[in-house]
Amino acid sequence: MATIVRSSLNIFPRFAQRLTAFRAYQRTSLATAVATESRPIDEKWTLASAVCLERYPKIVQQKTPLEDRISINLQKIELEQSVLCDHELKHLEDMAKKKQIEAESGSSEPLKGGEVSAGLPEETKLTAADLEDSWEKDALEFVLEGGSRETAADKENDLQSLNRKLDKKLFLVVKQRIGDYEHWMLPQGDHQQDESMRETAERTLRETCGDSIQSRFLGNAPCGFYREKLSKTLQEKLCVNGNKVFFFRAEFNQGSVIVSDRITDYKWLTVEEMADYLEPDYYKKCKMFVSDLW
Amino acid sequence: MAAPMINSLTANFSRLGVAARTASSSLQLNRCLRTQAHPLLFLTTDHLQKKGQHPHMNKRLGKKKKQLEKLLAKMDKRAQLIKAPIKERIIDMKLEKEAVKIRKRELSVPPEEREKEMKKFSHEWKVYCRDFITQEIHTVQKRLLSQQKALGELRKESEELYQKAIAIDEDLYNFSVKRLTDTPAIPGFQPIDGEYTDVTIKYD
Repeated sequence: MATIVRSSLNIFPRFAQRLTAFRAYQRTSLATAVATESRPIDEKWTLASAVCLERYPKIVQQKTPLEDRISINLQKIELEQSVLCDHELKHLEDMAKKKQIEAESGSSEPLKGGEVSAGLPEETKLTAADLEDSWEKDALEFVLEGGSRETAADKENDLQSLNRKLDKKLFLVVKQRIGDYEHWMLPQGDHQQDESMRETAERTLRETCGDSIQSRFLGNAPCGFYREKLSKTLQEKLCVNGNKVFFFRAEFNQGSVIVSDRITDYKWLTVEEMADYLEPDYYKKCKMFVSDLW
Repeated sequence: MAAPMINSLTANFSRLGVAARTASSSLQLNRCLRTQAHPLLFLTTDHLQKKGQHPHMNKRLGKKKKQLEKLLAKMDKRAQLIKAPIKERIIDMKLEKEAVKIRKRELSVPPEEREKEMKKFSHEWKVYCRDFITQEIHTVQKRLLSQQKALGELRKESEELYQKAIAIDEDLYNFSVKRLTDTPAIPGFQPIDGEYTDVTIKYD
């Protein structure tokens, strides 16, 4: 990453200015964020951990129109700078022979492929064009066998399937009961005593989505933070200001989600689709650490 | 009385060259021996005796000898094996040039026009790349900011939990990510070995 930044600074001076400005802004905001302020005595929060389970893309993303144009042009240049290969030479020879036969027979009508091969000696009955056709047929069959980019889950729009949107990141979103209402959210669980926040997150994933899910947590530190404030009547009733939720990123490896009593529904969604399900405030906080890039 | 006696004695020893210089200083004998006349009066040897060879030295030499013998035996064995001959290929420059001529491709578009086309794209491409990099940097910065904020909030709640959160996760050291492919993998597919002819030469 550092090398990318450094190289880009040399190329774009204006961009470098903007970046330094952004860094200055970031430093000041970090200082305020990290500074340990003395907490007002009357404030009391309960802690919770949430898991942002990600399924990484399995195939490369499709090229943008510009990328496509550039790559086609580069391929053309590369082809023009090369010399003819054996196959192409053979094709040229075939064409020359075809012309010769036509001239000998004296007919103005062009001969078909089969007639050309009939006129040739036995060793070279398969022309280069014939070979190409057969290869193309094989390649098409091979792709149709099961390697297509669009899967059945994409066609059916099955949001619970892990086999959809193979070129994008998918995030696990569950319908969980908080208080009296059900919300679409990332799987969340309350913190217990003698437990680090990461352990809470791991336990939450096991309890909400079943034991079969194999995942790898990315570090001990939380990647995001969300504050749920309770209404004033509830605050007085429970003597708690609200809930502090810490998010942990985890990479999905294997397994499938099993609906437990803590959740009623689950979905694997892309970043854009998450906006339709999550609450706007919650989604805004999630956007800080959720992205399609890595 | 003593002086004349010594004098007579010294006279007897004159052959040895032991004589008083003067009669007056007869008591002060000068013991100067001259051996010029007969040098072999002292027992001397013709040559120095050779130093005796140390027993360890002998062992070492024996070892060296054995090693050399082993090496020679090895070399003899190796000499019996047939060496693979080196194949040299000398390409005729004339033929090579002709081959390039035959294989020359006819250009559909002249190279100058192709360059012009690429120049048209180049600006667009640079802008695209810059935007992509900025987007990448922004996401990284956003993530760092979000993490720092979360850690700050955690520290406000409890110092112990904060210390646990910033501890190093050793499971991440062997971090690996799978490479992406153009199309998804076909389940249960086993790649076939391509057709090939073995051209390596074997020497017996």
